[in-house]
Amino acid sequence: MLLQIEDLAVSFLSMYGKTDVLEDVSIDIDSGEVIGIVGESGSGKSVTALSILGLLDNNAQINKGHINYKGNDLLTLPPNKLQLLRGKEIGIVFQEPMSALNPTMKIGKQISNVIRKHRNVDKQTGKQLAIKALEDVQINNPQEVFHKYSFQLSGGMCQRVVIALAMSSPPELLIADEPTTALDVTVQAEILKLMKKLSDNHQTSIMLITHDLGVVANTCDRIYVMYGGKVVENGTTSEVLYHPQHPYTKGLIDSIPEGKSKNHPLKVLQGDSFNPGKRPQGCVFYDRCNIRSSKCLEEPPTIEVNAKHNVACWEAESIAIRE
Amino acid sequence: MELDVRATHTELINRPSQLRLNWYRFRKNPLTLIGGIVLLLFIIIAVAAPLLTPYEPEVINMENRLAPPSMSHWFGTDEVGRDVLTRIIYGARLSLGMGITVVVIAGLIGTIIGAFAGYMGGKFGQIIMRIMDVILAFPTLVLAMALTAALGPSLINAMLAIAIVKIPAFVRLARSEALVVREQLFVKASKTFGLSDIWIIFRHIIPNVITPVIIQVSIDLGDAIMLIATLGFLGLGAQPPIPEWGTMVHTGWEFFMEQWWYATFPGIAIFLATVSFNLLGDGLRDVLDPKSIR
Repeated sequence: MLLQIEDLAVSFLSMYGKTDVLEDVSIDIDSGEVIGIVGESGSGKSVTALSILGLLDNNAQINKGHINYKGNDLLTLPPNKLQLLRGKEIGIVFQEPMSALNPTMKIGKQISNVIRKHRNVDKQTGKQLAIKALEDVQINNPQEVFHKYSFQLSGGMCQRVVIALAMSSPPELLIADEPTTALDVTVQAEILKLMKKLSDNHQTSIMLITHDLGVVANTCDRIYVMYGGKVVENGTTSEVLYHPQHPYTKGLIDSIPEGKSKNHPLKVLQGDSFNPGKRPQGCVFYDRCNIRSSKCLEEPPTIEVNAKHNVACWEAESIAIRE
Repeated sequence: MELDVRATHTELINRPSQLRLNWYRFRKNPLTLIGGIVLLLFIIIAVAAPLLTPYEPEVINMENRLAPPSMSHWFGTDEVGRDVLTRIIYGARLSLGMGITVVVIAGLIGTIIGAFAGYMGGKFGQIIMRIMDVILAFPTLVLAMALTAALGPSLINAMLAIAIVKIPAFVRLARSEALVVREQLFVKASKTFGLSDIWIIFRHIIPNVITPVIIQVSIDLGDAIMLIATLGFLGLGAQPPIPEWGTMVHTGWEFFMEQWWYATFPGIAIFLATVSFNLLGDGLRDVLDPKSIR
């Protein structure tokens, strides 16, 4: 086990008081594995990712839980030790590639500086390694891009540069926080393929955060579905996508337009997206669930559908028995 | 009727370079251009001082004291027979040199302190800003006078005092910009790449806050020259016989009723230098910060 998040609970403190944003989130990642975290906006995907690197804002409070990385608890690790892990062992790729690069510094300089930081090499070697890193992310003219600024590149190119930066060490774990959301669909596929390839080459685990199930289906080994700061369903990609148990997962899959008859309106998830200020009692999905019952006013247990598939829903129990 | 959907504009738009755009914005404003030209003249005069005049700025010629403007002494002579024009020319060296040095030093120190205060924030930032508030609470001139009086009247001490009173404005400016920049993704991203805070401040924060600082430098230059001259006039800056404009006005003042040229010409020099720096500063702001164009 490379990274193990155990029962992580995080709240944000604000003038309105304390808002719980993560509740009992548990996520495991093995070496070389690609996992997907899906969920709509506000489900706590990014908070989970940022808490791994200790980059939560000052008003965030970690209530309980552990993040075990190679035997260290990242939550209790002193800042200077955590700083050593950042970039070197755990890298992160953000959603907006354009703003993830400094507009006043040339691309090459940004990359070679990070490389020099992690590998202790001299300026010349740093430059060569930076050009090599640009080649590795499939940029055709690395020599030229080396001397460009971020605003002279397209979004896809920028994201490649950001990936090159994140992979410069290369890290054991790459967190990709919606890496393709800001990009064109054709570029999306390329970027995902690229990340997958780099992960195979370097044995890097990837934690892919997205709200696009299509992205997950093609890329990930396992999926965690999050809703309202909780993991509501997890399992291998095929298990979760072909035999979804949680009504939220089912709703998400039903609302994918591809492969549906064009003559019927697309099914949508009823209700508003989750509001952490109005957390319902019991099941977090209660307000929007189409199979809710009085049982659901109590916290649902995590049910093991089979060895590769867990779900947190009262109704799932009966489904599991039926199968 | 069918819509014509063929592409009519196939060639790329030839965008002018940023430099040309800047030059265009700069040129568009005649006042800026005037300021720039006057300043350029001052700089040429300052650099080429010994070539422009046959006289020495500090050589006394008692036979020719307080001579009115003439062909051999365009701006007349002073109470010990020195050519006033020569002294103004050499004074340009001093005033421009000192002004630029002082403001650039204040800008550098202020920017670094401000970037640290903005990026670090918290208690450290608060303490820095309260210290700056204390300095800002005094009127610039009063504080500069008090500092030079305390340190002892001399040109170096006047420079030091002006630099100190100029720093807080830069700190505030750099801090407010740094507060914006530090929230940007590339700063957070740099942290995730494992880069140190010092590195982030010098390579990510400062380059991104420098534009308003440059504008402030150009606007403050005129003010600094004015301050140097004021301190000189009050007897707190450069000491005679150094050819400094403010000091010259101070001495010339005693003779003003009969020998008007002695105090008038250095005064005009101060006026021109200050105004042209201000005009240039305004123009530079329009060029570098297009949002501010009224």
